[in-house]
Amino acid sequence: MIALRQFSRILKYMLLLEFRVRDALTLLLSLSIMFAVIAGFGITSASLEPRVRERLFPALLWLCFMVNAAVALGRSFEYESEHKVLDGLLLAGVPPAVLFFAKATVNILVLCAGQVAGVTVLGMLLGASLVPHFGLFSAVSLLVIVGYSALATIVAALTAGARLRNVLLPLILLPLLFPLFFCAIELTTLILEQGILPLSSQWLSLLAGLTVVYVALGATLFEFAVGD
Amino acid sequence: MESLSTAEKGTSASPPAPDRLARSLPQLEALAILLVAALIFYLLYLVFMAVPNERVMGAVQRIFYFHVGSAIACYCSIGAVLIGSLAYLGTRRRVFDCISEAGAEVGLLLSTMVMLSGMIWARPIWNTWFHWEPRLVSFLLLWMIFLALALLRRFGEPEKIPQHCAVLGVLGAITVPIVVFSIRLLPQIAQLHPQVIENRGLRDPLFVEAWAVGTIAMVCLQFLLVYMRTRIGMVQVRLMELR
Amino acid sequence: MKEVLLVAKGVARSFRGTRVLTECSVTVQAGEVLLLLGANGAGKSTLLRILAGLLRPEAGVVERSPLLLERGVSYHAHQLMLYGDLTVAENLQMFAEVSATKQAWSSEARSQTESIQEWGLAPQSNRAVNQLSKGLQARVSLARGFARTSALYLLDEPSSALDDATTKHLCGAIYRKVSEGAAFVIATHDLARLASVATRALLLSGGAVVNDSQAPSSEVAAYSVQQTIEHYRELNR
Repeated sequence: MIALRQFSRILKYMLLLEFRVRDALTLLLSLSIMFAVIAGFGITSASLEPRVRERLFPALLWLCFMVNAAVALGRSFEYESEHKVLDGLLLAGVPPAVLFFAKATVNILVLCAGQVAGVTVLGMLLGASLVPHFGLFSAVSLLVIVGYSALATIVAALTAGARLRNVLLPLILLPLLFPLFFCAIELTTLILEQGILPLSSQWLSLLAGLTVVYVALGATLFEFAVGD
Repeated sequence: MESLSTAEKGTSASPPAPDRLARSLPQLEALAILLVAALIFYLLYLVFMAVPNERVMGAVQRIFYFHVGSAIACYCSIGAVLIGSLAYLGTRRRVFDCISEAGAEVGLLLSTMVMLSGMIWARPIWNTWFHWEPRLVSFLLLWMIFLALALLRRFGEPEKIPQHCAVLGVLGAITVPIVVFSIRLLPQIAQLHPQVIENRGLRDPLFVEAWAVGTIAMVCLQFLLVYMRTRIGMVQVRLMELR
Repeated sequence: MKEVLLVAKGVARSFRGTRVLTECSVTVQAGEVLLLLGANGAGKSTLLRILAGLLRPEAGVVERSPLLLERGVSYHAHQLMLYGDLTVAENLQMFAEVSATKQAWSSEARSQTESIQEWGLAPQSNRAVNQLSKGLQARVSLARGFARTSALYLLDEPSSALDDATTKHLCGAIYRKVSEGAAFVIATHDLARLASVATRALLLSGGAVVNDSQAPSSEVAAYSVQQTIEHYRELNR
């Protein structure tokens, strides 16, 4: 119960901080637009058939998400690193797992905002729409974002004090996350082409399994990432 | 004085080995080096002097005898990383961090060899350096995981490198079976990579012998390199403690 | 016999390849104010971080009493341990709300308002911490540390950015906490302003304790607080 209260209080202040500083959404929107413009130009200049464009869209969408997320989460521990506030919270008796869940929740919300920006911008500029499949795509996106945030939160904690941390974070994180992206791309393709998301799909099972594993690993290993 | 609950004990380099083992260690090490060297020379003899040319692929097929063993040795390396990382997080003894570091370095070396030898083979056979097929992609990701470990070791926060690399070691090692499994779900990616062992493709007994010797030699070499790199790491730790 | 809160025996630690603490032993009892002296690089900050539990010793043992484990440690150092973009009030409120003591949540919230008044932070309470001067930031960090009822307070150069009035207030706060049974370990060079609160002094040199004004054994020279201070000044002449 105390842990739950501590989680809700810390989450409140972390969200207050994100809302006050408001740099995340601007970053994500700008990156999405830049990515969509370059991808759109490349596709147009290659004179791809509409069918091929449609098949490419899921990969481009998740590539855009990957770029957005790596940049957005690269700054995620900057507020904590500035004055070593995590040390203070740990000394105040907050369990490391509570800090992990609070930080991961903030990252999930930031990435959801980024995904909305990315899907909207790419859909408009590349002529593809996920609106008819909003429910199914949201479910898949949420699972991917939760798994991504869990892993990214702990890796960001590992690189928070490192040199070249903004470059180091994506280089270290991405090899660990490719299975998640394979699932995301396959399931998005399935949704776009057939408009369904069968519960028996192996990709869906793998995605759900990965999300659970990453959350469990993150919560367990976070104390080693922030402590000594 | 009230009795105090023990909070934490310090942990330094591992205590010295029992006397008899310590005395015979140099001889054991020399023996191990000689054995591995002998295996490798025997492998070289088999590959370049004994085995006949493969009927379809010709001389370039001989890469197989180094390539397969190195790939298996890579999986042994990631195993060393996982064991070393978990043991370090549990005990905080530097010897386990050294094992994890050694496993990661040797793994990076071997996975680079696997990728390069695979590319050298692929160019004449598939007319391309790389192909997006399950085994190659999963090995590329394994190489990237070893690279990530090396990058964190090199650029990480100096005081926390051992435990941070241990955390990444656990995450990376768990990713490997996930990657192998998930790649195989992709039906549209053709299985181009030769399935020699699975399809019992080694007909000539010399092929079988060379493959077996190659696998054993590379795995033994991997263990030897990890051991030696761990010893070097421990010496560095001792030097720092004495400063 | 005062209650022993913490015993560190033979603690050693390296920092960036250099051995900072070699064989450091210290016992902290309830109600004492221990002055930690030593030249730059003697290992004072490292020792404080180990006692706080933020660093692991590479050798040796740190034992903590059940009372200390229950009521916890407050630590103040150069790092503020605050969110720079949140206001003073928000930072103190957050720490008050997440504190894991057995006090009721409402009393923790009250203590945050009292802290702001006590440390003269009312005019700045709605300003972001990053917008404050170094001195005011240090005050906020001290307010954070003192708001909680801890068994042990570890202060690393607490008066380095403070004016005389605030330092006097700090001494008053130390006396109040000591009367409630807390212990203090204060690493400082500011002897002119802080020596008067000390009941005991410890001198670190070469990574080990060379002088303890209340040493239990005869291995380390036992002097009074003033003599320990003189010894420290001689080493640094």
